[in-house]
Amino acid sequence: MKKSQRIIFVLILVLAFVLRFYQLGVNPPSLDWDETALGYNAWSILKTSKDEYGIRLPLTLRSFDDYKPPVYVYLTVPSVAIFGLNDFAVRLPSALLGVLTVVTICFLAYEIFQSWGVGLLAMFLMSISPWHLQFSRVAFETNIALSFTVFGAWAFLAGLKKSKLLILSIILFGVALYSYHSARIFVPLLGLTLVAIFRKNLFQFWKYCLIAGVIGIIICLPLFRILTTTEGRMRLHGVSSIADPAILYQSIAKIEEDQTSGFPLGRFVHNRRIVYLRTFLEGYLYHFNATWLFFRSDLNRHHAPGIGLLYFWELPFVLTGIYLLLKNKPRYYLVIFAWWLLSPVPAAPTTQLPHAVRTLNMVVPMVLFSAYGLYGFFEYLKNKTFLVKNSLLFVFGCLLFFNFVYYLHQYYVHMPVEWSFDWQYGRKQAAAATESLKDRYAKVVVSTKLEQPHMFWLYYLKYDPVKYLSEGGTSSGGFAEVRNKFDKYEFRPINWEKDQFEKNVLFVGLPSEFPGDARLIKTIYYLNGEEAIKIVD
Amino acid sequence: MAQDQNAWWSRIVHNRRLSYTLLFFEHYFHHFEGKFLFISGDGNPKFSTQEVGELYLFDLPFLLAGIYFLIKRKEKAAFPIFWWLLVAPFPAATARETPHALRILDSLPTWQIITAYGFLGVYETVKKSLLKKLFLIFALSFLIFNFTFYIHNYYAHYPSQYSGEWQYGYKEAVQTVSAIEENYQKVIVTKALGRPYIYFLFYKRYPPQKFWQSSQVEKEPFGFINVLGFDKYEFREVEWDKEEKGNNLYVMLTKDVPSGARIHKTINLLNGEPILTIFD
Repeated sequence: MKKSQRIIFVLILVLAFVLRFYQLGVNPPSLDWDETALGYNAWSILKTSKDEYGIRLPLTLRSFDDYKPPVYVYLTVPSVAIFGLNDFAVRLPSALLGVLTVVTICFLAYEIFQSWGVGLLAMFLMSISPWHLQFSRVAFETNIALSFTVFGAWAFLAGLKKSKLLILSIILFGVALYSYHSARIFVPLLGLTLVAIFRKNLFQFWKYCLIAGVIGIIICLPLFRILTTTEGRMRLHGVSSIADPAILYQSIAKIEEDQTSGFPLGRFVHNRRIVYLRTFLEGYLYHFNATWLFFRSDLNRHHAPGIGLLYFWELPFVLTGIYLLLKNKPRYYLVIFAWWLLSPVPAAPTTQLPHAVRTLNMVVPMVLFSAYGLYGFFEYLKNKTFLVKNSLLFVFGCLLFFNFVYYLHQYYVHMPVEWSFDWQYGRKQAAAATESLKDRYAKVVVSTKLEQPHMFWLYYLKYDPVKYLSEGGTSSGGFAEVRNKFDKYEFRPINWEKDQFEKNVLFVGLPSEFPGDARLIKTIYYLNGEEAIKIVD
Repeated sequence: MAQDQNAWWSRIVHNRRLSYTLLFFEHYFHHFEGKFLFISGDGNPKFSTQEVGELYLFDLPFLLAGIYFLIKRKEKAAFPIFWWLLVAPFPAATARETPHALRILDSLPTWQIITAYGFLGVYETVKKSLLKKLFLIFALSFLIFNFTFYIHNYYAHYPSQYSGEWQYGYKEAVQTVSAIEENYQKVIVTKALGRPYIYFLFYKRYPPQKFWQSSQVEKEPFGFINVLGFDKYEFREVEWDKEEKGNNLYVMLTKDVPSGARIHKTINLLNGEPILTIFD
């Protein structure tokens, strides 16, 4: 790197840091259920070395019966040890790894293109990427899985010259496997593809490959056990579109229709494997929709209002980047395409598609395409006259600047207010209110319509994990979450017709759960002024 | 905007022209989505069998290859073809229902031209003759499978599955009514399936001059024409407790037939579901 490039590197690093740490823990306006679960379990492990179910140093967290991979929780243990149990501390590991990912992208791009110019462009685009910012400012496991995947990929490519790094690479990929569900499909696929692409290079230092292979198998061993238990597969069943028998009803009806009409190939044409393949492809192709990528994204929690996953102006550069890659074939260009085409695979057979969290890995090829397209654009400008060059640069600069400002405005001004509902706002205020009121009541009943309220209450009240576990801990997180209780708190569905006769009990629930005659103690509002939670007795 | 207290900069950021432009592009890009092009086509069953996309899955790799080869080889025809393809969805992008197979029909046959070019491009790129043969065998059997799957669905399942979407049942209803209508003073027909008058005119080969004389027509707020009746036909819904008794023949949705009706005929959709009932 030249001196000027070093300065740019530092500037981008500062930008990446500021964008990830400014208002960290404040915006998005509330922790969602998974974030609180990660936070409280880290706190519990710190204080008792056990999770909320009383399992010592778990390799998989039962949590809301979604059996979370454990890395995020363990990263949060030192964070809550230093900063205490608060929103900043819970989101800190994600933000830190986000900054590190931005840095690593620069080196990854350098390995692929052998150009610091492209590297710095990629680093810049990653630092301001709405997609990456969205998830590196919240405690989402997908973000750290992305980080370890990027670190691992860099170590692998660098390891093609410094073979010791191959061992580091397999360890980093291994950590990714324990970071997020999607990574368990994506990382092995990417790893195998890398081995296939670079099989000749790898053959030269087969000794290191052998060591790396052995380490890889050792890392995977506990995973085989996790994935073969019913609990481990539950998550897969919970989100799978292919496990849903409804998709077969139509084809079964058609086979019957063919039998009546005497068409001999009905069973072949309407074979269930073809139905599965079609469902898979449909899910896969969703993730190449321009509307999703550039305009709309998907669930509100996955983007800021009016902002897609990439900037609007990136569209032509992404296309140019793809074309130039195919045309110029820079050193390791195949890696980018493999990454791109594999990234929607884990999400493809699932429901609720397209899905920005399960396919976060796609941000890497997108940034690299965009960076290479931009690089091509700047190269093209080099031979142009002063006027043409500067006017084009001016137009581009305006687009970039306004789009960036628009994003920041939407993210910091509009998102918290308009979408506080989606961020499960209000539990913090409700928990604080019940805590100050509970002395006057024998019991506090919190409606399970507040979505895993036991976790929100544990987290916001910083309830002592030792005490919690001695009272029995969590009984169930997912399908039978009606039995959870601690202290004076009880978490169950509210049936007002029956419950209104209960004496000396404080009730917390959605406004729709209480009719007008319930005695209102307090209402908590979303940031846009709508009613969020009511406390009555 | 209200949230920003109507600040001057807010008017620029949340300008309506800007949001219209973005909305336009959003709708524009719907026409390049994988589900629409390769999986199930237009969501309206009248425009697609729902089983195959607007293109075959076979086309996908060769379409991409075609785009690549057209640009790389700087083919002269590339510009007009791409331009044609890219502007074709413009009219459709201004409307709400996107993607819309009918409104971008103008984009044909650019897809097929590009696909063909891509297929040839790939074929020429494959050097060894054995691989060439393998490529042909695989590609063609995949195409044949795609084609069979489409044709089979189109002829064997599409009619029965979606006959309702094609307003099936009117033809039979008109024929049945024509045979017995002389015994009745009035024939009252539901509009639930949409525009019954035109089916009566069409299948009865009713003389236009006679229609002009006897038709009662009103204009709807959006400018569409609504025919209330002609000759002895009335097109309206019926509320049975308010309906005047008379020597009338009714054609109503089967689910709306009142108890005690004397049923002449019930017409089924091709999937066996009853749709229209003729009774008095």
